[in-house]
Amino acid sequence: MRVTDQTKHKAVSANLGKNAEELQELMIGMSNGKKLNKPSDDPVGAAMVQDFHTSINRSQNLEKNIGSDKVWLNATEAATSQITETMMKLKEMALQGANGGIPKEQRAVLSTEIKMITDDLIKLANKREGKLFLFSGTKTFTEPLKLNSELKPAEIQFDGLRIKADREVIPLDQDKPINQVVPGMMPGKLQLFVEPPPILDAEGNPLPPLEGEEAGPKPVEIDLMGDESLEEVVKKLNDAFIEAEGFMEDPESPVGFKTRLFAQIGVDGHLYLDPSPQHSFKFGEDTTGFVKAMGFKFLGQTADQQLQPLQGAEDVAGDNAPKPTDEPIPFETYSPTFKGYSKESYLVRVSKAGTYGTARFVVSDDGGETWSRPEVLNKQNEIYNPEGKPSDKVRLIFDAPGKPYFLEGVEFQFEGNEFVEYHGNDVVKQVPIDNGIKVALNTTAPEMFMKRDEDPDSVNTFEVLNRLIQSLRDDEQEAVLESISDMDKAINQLLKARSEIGSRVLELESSEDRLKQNMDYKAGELSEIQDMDLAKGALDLNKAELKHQTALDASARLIQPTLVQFLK
Amino acid sequence: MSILGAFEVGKKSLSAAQQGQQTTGHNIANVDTEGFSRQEVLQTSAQPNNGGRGNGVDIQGIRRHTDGFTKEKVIGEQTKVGSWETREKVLNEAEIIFTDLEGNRLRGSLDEFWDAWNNLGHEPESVTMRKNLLSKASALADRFNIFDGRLKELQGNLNGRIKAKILEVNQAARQIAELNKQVEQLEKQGRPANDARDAREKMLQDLSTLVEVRYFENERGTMEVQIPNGQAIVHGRTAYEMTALTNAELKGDFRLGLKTPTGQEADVTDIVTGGAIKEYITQRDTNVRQYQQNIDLLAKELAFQVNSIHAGGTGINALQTTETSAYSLNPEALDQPLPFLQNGAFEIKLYDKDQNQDLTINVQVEAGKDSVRSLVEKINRAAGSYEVDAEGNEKLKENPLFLANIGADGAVHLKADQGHQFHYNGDSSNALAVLGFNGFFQALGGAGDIRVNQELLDDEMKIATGHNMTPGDNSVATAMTDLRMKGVLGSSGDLSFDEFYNVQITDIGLKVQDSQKGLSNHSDMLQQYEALRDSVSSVNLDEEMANMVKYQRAYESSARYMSTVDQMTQTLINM
Repeated sequence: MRVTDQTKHKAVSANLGKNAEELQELMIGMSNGKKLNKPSDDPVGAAMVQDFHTSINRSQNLEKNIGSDKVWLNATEAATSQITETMMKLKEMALQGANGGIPKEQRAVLSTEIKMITDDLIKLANKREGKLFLFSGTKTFTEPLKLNSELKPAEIQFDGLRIKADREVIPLDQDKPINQVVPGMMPGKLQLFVEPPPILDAEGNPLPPLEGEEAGPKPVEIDLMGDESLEEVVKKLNDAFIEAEGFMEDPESPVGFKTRLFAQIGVDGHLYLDPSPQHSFKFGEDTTGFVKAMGFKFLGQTADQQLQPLQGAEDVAGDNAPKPTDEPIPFETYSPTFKGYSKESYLVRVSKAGTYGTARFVVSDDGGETWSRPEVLNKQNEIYNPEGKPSDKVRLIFDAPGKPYFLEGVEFQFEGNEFVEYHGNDVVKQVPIDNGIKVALNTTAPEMFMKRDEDPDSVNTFEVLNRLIQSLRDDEQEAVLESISDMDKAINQLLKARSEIGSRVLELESSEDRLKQNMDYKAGELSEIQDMDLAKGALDLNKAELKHQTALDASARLIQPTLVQFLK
Repeated sequence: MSILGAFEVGKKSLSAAQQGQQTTGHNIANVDTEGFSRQEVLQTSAQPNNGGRGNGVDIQGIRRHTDGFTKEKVIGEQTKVGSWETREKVLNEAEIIFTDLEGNRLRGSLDEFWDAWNNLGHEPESVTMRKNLLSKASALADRFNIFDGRLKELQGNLNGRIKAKILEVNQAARQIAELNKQVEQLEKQGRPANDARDAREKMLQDLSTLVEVRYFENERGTMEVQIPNGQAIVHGRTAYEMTALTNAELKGDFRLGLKTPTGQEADVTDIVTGGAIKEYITQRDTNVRQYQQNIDLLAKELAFQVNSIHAGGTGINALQTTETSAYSLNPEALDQPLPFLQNGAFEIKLYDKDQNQDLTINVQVEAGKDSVRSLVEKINRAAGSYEVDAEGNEKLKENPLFLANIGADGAVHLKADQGHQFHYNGDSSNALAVLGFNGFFQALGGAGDIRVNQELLDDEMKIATGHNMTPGDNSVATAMTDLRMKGVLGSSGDLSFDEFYNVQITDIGLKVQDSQKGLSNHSDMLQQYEALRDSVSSVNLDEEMANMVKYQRAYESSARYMSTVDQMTQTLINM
């Protein structure tokens, strides 16, 4: 091939150009220590480098976070350890109080002392880290425990049949009860049906009526003049029912005679009609307008309770009969009772015994599905359930047969002396400590002090302490002993919470180690991909330099000689 | 035979040597001239006269050494090199935008954004962490804006370059036409047009870098230059102008046009398959546009995903009385089913002035069915804002506790009655995010205009970290940190934001590598073809030196011959 000067020149400059490029790359690499300077240097590596940077930054950030989490956990740990110590001290004092040898006065002193320490306990549980409360779940701005000294009235629900007048009668004078004329009343007749349950034979069929007796329900009729006061109407009603039973004496009855229905004006100013247990009831014809005027309604009737029609009942309800009272309401299996619903642990105290009859109580700890055996509730009796939970129910049954008259004179109260209420929430804050790993950070006050469903061994610490204080005050050694075993449970509960905190700290620490390892590893990998191996780089640079120099040398020799130099 | 004839032979011989020397001089002078083809004096022995005696030398002409085949190869390869060079240049520029190996540009900002959420997940009550998040989020939004700006700038640059290159094409075409004229005129007069031809070939080579061309020479010696479909760029002495076409649809992007002999502009972008101009257009419309779209997608998806988590959450003490949606729709779009909805529900809680909860508005959302209008109605219905008037017609109450309506501007307005305030409480339907309520980011266009919701910038307590205004609730913040790792992008939706960005990095890296390899391959090829061409056409100084000596000697000999003949004449005269 014919070689020309242009050819030589182009070849030389192209080759020198390539060498120079190589040198340039190496020089950049050597000067900033990186072999990866733009994505095209190593496209996959470039993406990996991004990930490694992310991973390292993230780990650093998480490490910082774990630091602050540990501060929180340490504060929690410090507070719980103080709380546990306080509880230990309280238990010692309780043991002291349980000692039969000490005098009554000393127990009383212990009682006040324990009361004071209990208040300190609440303060400890309300500790903050910075401005945030440690033990109130995620409601960190809310004080978790508050002392509520108000007595909580029992939530009492009537569970039976009563007929209540909707219209409230306001007594003008406490001493002189209602004596005004019932408004809207006309002269006329009022029919009421109150029927005992049918008497069954051996097969369970109702017995036929006795000879000479009419089949079917018999109404009790009251004649009204239309100008009676409510009090007078009540009297007429009661008289009519006493008359219907034939003036049979009954010492337990409020009126002294046997009766199927007792009418009264309750303390709340409403007229109540209380049929005897197991009796069916319905309004009959009413030409007086009394039923309408009073606006009666049925209590204790729930939709799922099957209504059995009164046997042989005729539809005698007049136009004035109130709705929805057309259906006869049987007392089937239940008697008028009150249900008391507990909140957490409860203490029910009957501060005033019933005026008439006796009461029994049953307890359900499964929300009312099954009930305990009834026990007699005595005057000043207490139903105490330290393992109470919100679904628990206490039912008080007033079962003097035929005499469901108990309204006045009985008070129910759930009593817990001073209630410690939790105002936080049960949400446990989960914080991310590593890729996808979260750890629970906070401990809630209920975990340490309250009775919880998921833990059958848990107790309400403050209830226990209240009982202890009370029993020490009342000098009841037995009760003191009883509460000591509950205190052990309370302390165990605390220890459990503490060990949980400890395991979280451990988890954080191991995660910290993992993060450190990860950072070291990623930093190594990162350097592997993007950093220049300086020794190799220097070697390469030397090689490239040598190559370049050789090329320059060779080119000089190649280009220089032409015929020109040899022509003289 | 006359002695004078011998003089004639001598004269011709001297002249031939002189011409040869001059041509050698011309060659040496042009040793470095790009596109120059070495020339050679063609000598023949002169026609002998009657007696058969030699008549000396004749100069037939001056020949150019050129080879049509290698020339064609060089020009074809030049087009490819032009394409690859352009591709490499454009991708290199794009690569610079993506180069972020220290992790402190877009990707770094993204990291810091997630880390800020993570911090907030640990300390949701902290004002510092909230401010920190806002600053990181704003920085991220800025990065997106800058990134988008740079890609747009590159796009603008490319259009500028396309226009400039088209001007170059026109200039080359005009010169070729001009040279055609010279060649035609010179050769018509029987004079060689070697240098004009060389210049013309050089122009052609320059032209072929810019546009892929076909060419041939016709019998008159003019060069016809055409684009691959045969449409002429140069026809004889006429050059046809190439133009940068644009229209409203192209939004300022240029395409390649060529004026036909009738003066119409034809879009020839798709006909031309190679050359720098075509490559600029291709890169602009494929890679650069794709990166832009992907970055937009990244920004939009980030905004949407973050918003859909944020929308259902609440900040601390962050009750509001009114809120207007970030988006507004055309009247006809109000009844269209909204995109991105999921079957689910969202909730708004209303509080009275003592912060007691008053009303919970729970709205069930059906994906693919609910429109803005139906959602507004559902909100009002759930809030109990309808009543039945005396005629039995249903209408909105005059002063309902809570009212949603569509404003004249097409935006949705939520308003709590006087003394009441509300917050959002959970959204499994994306509806709040889609409507543009309680968002964290606003991104209507994508990367270009993504920014942090101004309301949050004004009051960092409004950043939702949890639900129900519980200060320590970090559920929203931790959901954000989970989002960081969640697969949301890509064709199968399994790429996280980081991974999606990585794909872009790897993609551009590979493309740059690819273009570098392509360029180097074709440059090598071109170099070899040029070497081949040069081996025919280029000047070798050694050869020229030899020729110089040769012609010198020939001249000396001719001179000697002349003086000998002169002496002979002298002798004759002196006889």
